[in-house]
Amino acid sequence: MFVFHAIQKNISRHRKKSFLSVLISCMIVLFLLLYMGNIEKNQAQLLRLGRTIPVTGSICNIDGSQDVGLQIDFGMLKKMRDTGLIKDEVTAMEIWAALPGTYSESAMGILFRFEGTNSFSIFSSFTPKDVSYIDNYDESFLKGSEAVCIVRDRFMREQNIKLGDELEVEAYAPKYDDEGQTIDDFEKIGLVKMKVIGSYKSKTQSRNEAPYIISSDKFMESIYEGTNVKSYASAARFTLRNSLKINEFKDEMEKIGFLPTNMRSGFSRVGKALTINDETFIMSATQLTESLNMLKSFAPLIFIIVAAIGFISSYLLMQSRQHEFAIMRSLGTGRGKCFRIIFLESMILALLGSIIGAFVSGFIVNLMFKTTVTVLAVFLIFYMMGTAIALLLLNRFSVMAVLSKTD
Amino acid sequence: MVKLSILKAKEVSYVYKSKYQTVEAVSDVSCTFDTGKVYAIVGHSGSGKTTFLSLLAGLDLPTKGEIYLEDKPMSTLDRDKYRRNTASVVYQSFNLFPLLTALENVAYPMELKGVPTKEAKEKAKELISKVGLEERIYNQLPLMMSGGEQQRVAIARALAVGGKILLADEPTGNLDTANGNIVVELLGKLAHDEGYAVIIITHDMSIADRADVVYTMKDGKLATKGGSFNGTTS
Repeated sequence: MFVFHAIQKNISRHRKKSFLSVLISCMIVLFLLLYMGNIEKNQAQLLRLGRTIPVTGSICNIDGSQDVGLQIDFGMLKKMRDTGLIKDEVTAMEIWAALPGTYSESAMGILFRFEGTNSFSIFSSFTPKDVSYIDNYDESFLKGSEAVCIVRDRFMREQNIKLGDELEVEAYAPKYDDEGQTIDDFEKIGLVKMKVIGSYKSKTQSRNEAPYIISSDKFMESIYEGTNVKSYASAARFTLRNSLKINEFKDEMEKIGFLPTNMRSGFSRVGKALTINDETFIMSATQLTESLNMLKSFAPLIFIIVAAIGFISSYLLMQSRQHEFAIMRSLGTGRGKCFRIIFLESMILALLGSIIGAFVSGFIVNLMFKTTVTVLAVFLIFYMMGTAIALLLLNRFSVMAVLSKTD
Repeated sequence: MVKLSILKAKEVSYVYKSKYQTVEAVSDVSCTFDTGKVYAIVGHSGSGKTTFLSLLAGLDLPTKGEIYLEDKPMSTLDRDKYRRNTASVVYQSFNLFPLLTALENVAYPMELKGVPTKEAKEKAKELISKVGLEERIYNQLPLMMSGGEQQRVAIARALAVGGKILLADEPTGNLDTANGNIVVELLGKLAHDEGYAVIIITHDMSIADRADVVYTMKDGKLATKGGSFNGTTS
């Protein structure tokens, strides 16, 4: 009771010193909260980076020379999907087609490209705007498995095909050797009948750059059903669900069996390498991470400085009250009680100052409640540690030496 | 008044040790202090009298020898409790709490012992009146009082301890003759009328002349003994 009474009296009587203590604590806490606010802001920016700068990627061949027209194992694609790390997956399948009875091994020229995909974004030679449909059909046919297709306008003219016609073609899959090299041979998959629901105008006149027939990838997969011909994807692109997990993604892909591209490797159509467009993300993330790490690296020093300020300010404030402590000791107040009174007095003032500092900081930075409480707690611990050391040093004076000094 | 030996120093020595030198401030001092008497310990600056007073006040322990409080060795006692209940010190520079009023200063030793504030203040008023101060002084801060008033408040605070040992270190050193007389008379009364053992450290021989017993200290040793209290100063 006496201790609390003495503390209350001390605080109210030493108004200037009490105010100074509160002000010092308030300023330190304000500084710490602004510092933490900077760290939190950088962390939030880093988290937002994943949304603002998406990391995209595609499967390519080992020398990185192409990311379409490949032989990609569906098993690897499934494993990639199963990691849960990718989204917006775009895949394509590529086969060769011929009008019934027109293909023979000696006349390859009559084979034309037929692709199945789930998105037009896989093609660079036209955009969805270049496609016209018959009634009741639109781009959404790519998401289904209906036996429908769109056909290149040039092919329609050449073969006299009209929108709404039923197109019948023989489907052939290219043959590959063990190293993924195409050999000049094709394997017949079967006869395919599809309704022509639209046509598209390719920006390029090259026969190879745009397929002649496009269906959904699901429909194309169904062409293989009941045959012994193995199907492959010809292209696959994706976006990382969380750009920040780029390293985790790379590790997972390595485990699955994807390799980094190697320009010195020979050409192959096997799609088992990855191209990841992460330069912009990594550059921005590196800058943010570096500044975050730099801010964080100051933390130990900052808290040591807080303890030092606690020590110095308490030492100076208490030193000027040494005479008062000597009187207390002379009247029989024990060292422990003296320490308790002054320590608790300092703690109350520091707590008051830190609460005011936290309140003021609310107008400047928007910190999480948990962070604010943590900063206050850490500040109080370090500040009071400094105060305790100062008091222990000051409590070792000779009472008689202090009180016998004449004014 | 029955005079009992309350404090006894037996072969007491105190050595200050610093990095560069060792000084024996008090050397083999033996003496006794009875209640109801005024003792003066006189000596020049550096003779060891203030160090001896701090040993009697329990602020330090002798490096050799022992001080006994009613035959109990000081080294075995709780010395903070000894100052809270038995011995109090009055200093040359008064040493009142600068931001407490006269009433609060006097009430402090009682509050320290757990006496409720209101009760302590009532008792403080009685003690202030006992040292001859008026009611107007109650709420004055030390800086607002004269030296004589401050010293009397300091004596009232010493009385608030409630013990029978009153130690005074040059109590008139900062006072004019008139106020010095008042303080010395007051200390004499406390010894003779109320049975305090009053031990005054001084280099003022006029005060020593008025003590019942005079000890002279020189180079840490207690040299001579004598004197009689007559209640006035020259």
